[in-house]
Amino acid sequence: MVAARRWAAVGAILVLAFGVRATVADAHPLHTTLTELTTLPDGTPQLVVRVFLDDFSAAVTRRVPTPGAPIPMPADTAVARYVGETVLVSDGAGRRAPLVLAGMRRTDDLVWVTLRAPSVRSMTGAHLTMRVLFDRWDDQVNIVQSAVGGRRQTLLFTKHDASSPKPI
Amino acid sequence: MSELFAFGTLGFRHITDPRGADHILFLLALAAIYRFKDWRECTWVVTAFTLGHSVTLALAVTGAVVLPSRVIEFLIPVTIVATALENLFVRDRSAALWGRRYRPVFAGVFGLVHGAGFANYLRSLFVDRIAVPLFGFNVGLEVGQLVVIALAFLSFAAIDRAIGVVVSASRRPDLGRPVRIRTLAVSVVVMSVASRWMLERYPW
Repeated sequence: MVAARRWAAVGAILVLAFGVRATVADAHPLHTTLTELTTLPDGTPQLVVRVFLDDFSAAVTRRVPTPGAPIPMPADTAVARYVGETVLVSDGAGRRAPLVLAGMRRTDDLVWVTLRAPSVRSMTGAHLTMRVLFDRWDDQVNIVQSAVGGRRQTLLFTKHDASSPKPI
Repeated sequence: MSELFAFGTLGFRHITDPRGADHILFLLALAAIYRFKDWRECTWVVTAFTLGHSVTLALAVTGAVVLPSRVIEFLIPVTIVATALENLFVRDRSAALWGRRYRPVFAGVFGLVHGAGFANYLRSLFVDRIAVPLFGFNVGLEVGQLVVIALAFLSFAAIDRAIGVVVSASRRPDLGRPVRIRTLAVSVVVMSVASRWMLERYPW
């Protein structure tokens, strides 16, 4: 009986230690962005990226927002630099197409970032890489819904396959 | 990739991601009392949980109900602690209210709370077309949950075997059956972690 109690005590200590080590960071948010890829009437590809302001601001400014404090929209120049590093479009010849920040607006806690690749006129053979917020969350999943040339498809980008461009 | 499959993948990844342990802990608490031969009963309980969170997810995402996220974040560990406590204190479920059938009912009710946990997030993101993403996400969650449960059953079988060996070697039959010891151990660990979350997320 003494041995059983001893084991019970050891178990209780381990349990408490395990419990104490758990933190509020273990809550289970979904780390996701949603992007719609379409083409304008002149053939220019357009991406509208929906991303939560708190995460986006932290990634763009490289500063974590203070909890409870209002989060301002990041500056256009900083956003353009960030998406230039994390959203990559290449044309059919494999050339990287520069992206232009065409607009940015906010609805509640969501930011809508509109990007265009004016140098691309045909989506045949084009590829996309979407690494937004991969620098912030290991479990980030970026969803891209494309409607190009009458064809709809959904692409998932994860940190695991971050370096692989996907055909659009 | 089709839209349905893409969002199914998202749901599957979400539920099986070990970095976000709240749903996994709840599933472990639900499954802790079962042995492999009880897999049908456990699947019913898990499916009831899916149905519960599908209902709230659909209601919240479509804007039919608005739920305060701080309260929901607090209630999620409460459901985990309550399930673990039920494991600890109810020894004979056949003698309990509604026999063994009450477990799917409370799994469904607790599922309502868990569904609200990510509803606010999805509603913000999918402001327009929601039906296919929502359905795909839920299918992915259900498949993911069944995978978690299957892995839990494998682990439980190994733990039961190890406990059986220790109990036999100790020549102390009064220590109890391996299943009961494992149920208590899993429930206490799960309860310990969830209690901590409960305190940290207290919203008032």
